[in-house]
Amino acid sequence: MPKSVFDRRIEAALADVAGAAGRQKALSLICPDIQAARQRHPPLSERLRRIKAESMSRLPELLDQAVTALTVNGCRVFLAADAGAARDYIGGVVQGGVLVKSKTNVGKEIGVDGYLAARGVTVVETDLGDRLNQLDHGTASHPLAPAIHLPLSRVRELLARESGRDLPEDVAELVRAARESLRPHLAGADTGLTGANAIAADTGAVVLMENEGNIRAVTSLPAVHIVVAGITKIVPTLEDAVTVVEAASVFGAGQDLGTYMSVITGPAPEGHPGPREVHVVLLDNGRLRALAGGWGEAFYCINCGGCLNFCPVYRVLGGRFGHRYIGGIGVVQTALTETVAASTDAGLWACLSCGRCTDACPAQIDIPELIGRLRAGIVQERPSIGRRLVRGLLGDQARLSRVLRVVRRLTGPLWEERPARRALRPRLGVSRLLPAPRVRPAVPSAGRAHAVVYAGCLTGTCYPEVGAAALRVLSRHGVAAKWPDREPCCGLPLWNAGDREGACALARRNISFLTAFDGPVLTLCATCGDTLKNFYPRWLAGDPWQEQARRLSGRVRDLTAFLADDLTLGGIAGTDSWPVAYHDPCHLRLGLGVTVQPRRLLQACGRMVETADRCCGFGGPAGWRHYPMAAAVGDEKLARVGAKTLATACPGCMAALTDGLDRLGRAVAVRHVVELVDEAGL
Amino acid sequence: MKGVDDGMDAGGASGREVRVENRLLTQAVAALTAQGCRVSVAGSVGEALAFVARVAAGKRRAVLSRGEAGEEIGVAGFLAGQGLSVWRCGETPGKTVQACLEADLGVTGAQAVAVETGTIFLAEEGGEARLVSNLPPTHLVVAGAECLAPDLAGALAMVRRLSRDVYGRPLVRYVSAISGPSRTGDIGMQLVPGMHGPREVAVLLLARTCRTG
Ligand code: SF4
Repeated sequence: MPKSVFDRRIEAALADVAGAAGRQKALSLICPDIQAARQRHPPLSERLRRIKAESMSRLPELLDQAVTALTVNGCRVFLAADAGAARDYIGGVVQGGVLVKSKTNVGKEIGVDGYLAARGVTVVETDLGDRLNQLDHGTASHPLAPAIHLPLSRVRELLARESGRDLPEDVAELVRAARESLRPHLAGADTGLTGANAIAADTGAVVLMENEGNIRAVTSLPAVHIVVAGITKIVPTLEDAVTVVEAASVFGAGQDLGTYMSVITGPAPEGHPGPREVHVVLLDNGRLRALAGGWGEAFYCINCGGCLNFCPVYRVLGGRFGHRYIGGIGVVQTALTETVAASTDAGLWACLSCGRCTDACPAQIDIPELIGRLRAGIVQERPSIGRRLVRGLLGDQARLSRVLRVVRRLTGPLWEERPARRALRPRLGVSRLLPAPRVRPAVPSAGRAHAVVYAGCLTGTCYPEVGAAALRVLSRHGVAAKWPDREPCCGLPLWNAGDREGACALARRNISFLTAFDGPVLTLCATCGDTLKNFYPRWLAGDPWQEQARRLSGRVRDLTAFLADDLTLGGIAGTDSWPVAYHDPCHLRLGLGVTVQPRRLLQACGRMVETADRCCGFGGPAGWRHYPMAAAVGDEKLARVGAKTLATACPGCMAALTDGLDRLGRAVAVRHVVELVDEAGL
Repeated sequence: MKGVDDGMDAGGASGREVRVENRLLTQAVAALTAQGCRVSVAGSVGEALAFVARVAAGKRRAVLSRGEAGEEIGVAGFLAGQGLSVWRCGETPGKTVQACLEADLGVTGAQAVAVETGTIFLAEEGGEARLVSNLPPTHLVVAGAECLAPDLAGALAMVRRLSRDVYGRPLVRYVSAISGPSRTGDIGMQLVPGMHGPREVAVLLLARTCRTG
């Protein structure tokens, strides 16, 4: 199969060692600051989400109000239907000379730099990082630290050339040189170009935030100031706009507030210094259509960049995940402002649905859900034969097991646990992450059960010993549980692959299947647990089955939480035995909020617990569609594991971790927490 | 900090008002300092000018925007007396930018200070304060204690009130909210002050007693 555009970008990203090193450094410094700042501002995110939800639902009206207010203030407002219209307007205003600019995402969206340069305008970036990249002919590697990938020696070289004198490798000196070399550009520029963090409809105020003071210079020195902003930057009031800026500071930079917030309502009055003209270019470019189509949440985004810092895919790919807008939200915005094909090239199928972005986002945007919807749109247009086949296979675990075992018999050597063999598995259309299918051991089934074990397909077909261990532990504590063998798949694999109809059909089947059993539904797979508990009621919103989905949701418990919270397990004295690292499955930590219980269980087993947070790389279809990327995510994770045993509570994670350890040639045993509990005799 | 606590009865203020002012002053000093500003609270004109002298030491050219508080204690004349060449905005329109580019000290007032974040608000119609507070390497803010607000929302409310009462508009033309010196971390994530804006921000807070004694 020829490599896709995105696969080539993955290759380039994985080869870019300097970029990765810079990014790691930036992330390690920024993440703790952001987390601390969030703690100091608990209500900020709710406030922002409310403001943005209101703004998007009232946008046409707010747009009118903003245009009127800006015009009354003396600004010249241009509503640009698309990128071309915006460029043409700007081209009409800027007839040549020097244009100084600050960071603007919409500027990137409309490709303003190249357009102006081609028309003979000298474009000068003024943010230091962006300026360094401009001098280096490179691109930004992180929204907050765009030039973090450049080593100090290179920065020195670039600035020395620029200022025409020798400079020491001293950061303070280099900053001074940059200030001095940019000043004449700022003082002599004809035009200043900026974006906007927010535009207040009530006052016609453009609000901008920054740390360096370049935006203040760009907006106060040249005779013409051009603002380019998406129409979705409009919020009802000045106070709302300030909330946007606060949220961007806290969630994007870990600051309470950026050093400078500039509020600009119009050109300078007669006899005063400052721009004679302020042009405000408001870009639609698909936004109104997207809002009408129910994509409003995508534009709650305030471009703070916070989500990137926690995204496992961004960690390994950097700015190559996304297009003009970076990261998962960037993929979504690309689809809405350009085309779905462009979003595919930007990494539509790379998202692991781990949910870290939503957790990091001040507007709480459910980015994985938006990405899933885009995938669904694509899948719907494809022929349905393959889809029907897969749906049928996943509808009944006993059937799935039989088929997989036949496949295994026919292709025996492929399933040996050796890297070379694993590498062959994709030839068969299965992921190399998939473990060898195994026959379920005979387990004594309880006569009258008062709990049902929902082990999930992967446990049932590939890790049956985990299910058996769970039954043994439960029965030791007097919980008679049943592990049915014909349960349907939870449906998440279909959902993530874009087959929403198929996923909902499986949801309904599971609901009626599980109604036949009494008591709690104990899940061994974090993904299944999150799906049954949290996703079904959402998937089936407005469906006659929703009420039943809610009832089922109330019965679902993660097995480790059930064992730790509801049973008295006792424990082994002393914790001097060998350590175990615990891997938090994303669906368990972020989806179900279960973090302490598995650790408590491991401690009860007499194990010392290390934590190795990070995604395993298995989520969604990325594992087989973009294996090198998923592998890089896994490698990052495994580099943090020192113990000889790695415990987790999700068979999906187990498969990815096992493959990764295999790939790295490391002898670490991967176990489900419940297996260790069983072995400890608890 | 001398002078903060002995303002009872100053200007006819009630004891409660004075206590509130003192509490806000104390918090403002802490927050502004945490933002990297050099801060002083003056209880008398003499103390105020002494701080101005320290900030202006070694400087040659000062630009001043029109600021109520600074005018009240005669900052312009004092700086001239210290041997600085002093340029007042509005004197020769059209020369402001050049004066700001050449100055090594910019002096402004403040229309509000958000105590919680240590943020100085400059609100203006003309746009001079934007230049004065951004181009010279040192920015001196002279602010009366009456412009202290507990937080950002309070400071915004003050700016809104000023816009309505003084200019008869919902919002003045320009507002600049400043939290500490200009900074950049763009080279190796090492934080360095003074990228495009001032590397030093000095804040002189005038207690009520300044006005009376
Ligand atoms: S999606 Fe990302 S960039 Fe946009 S607001 Fe949320 S965290 Fe910030």
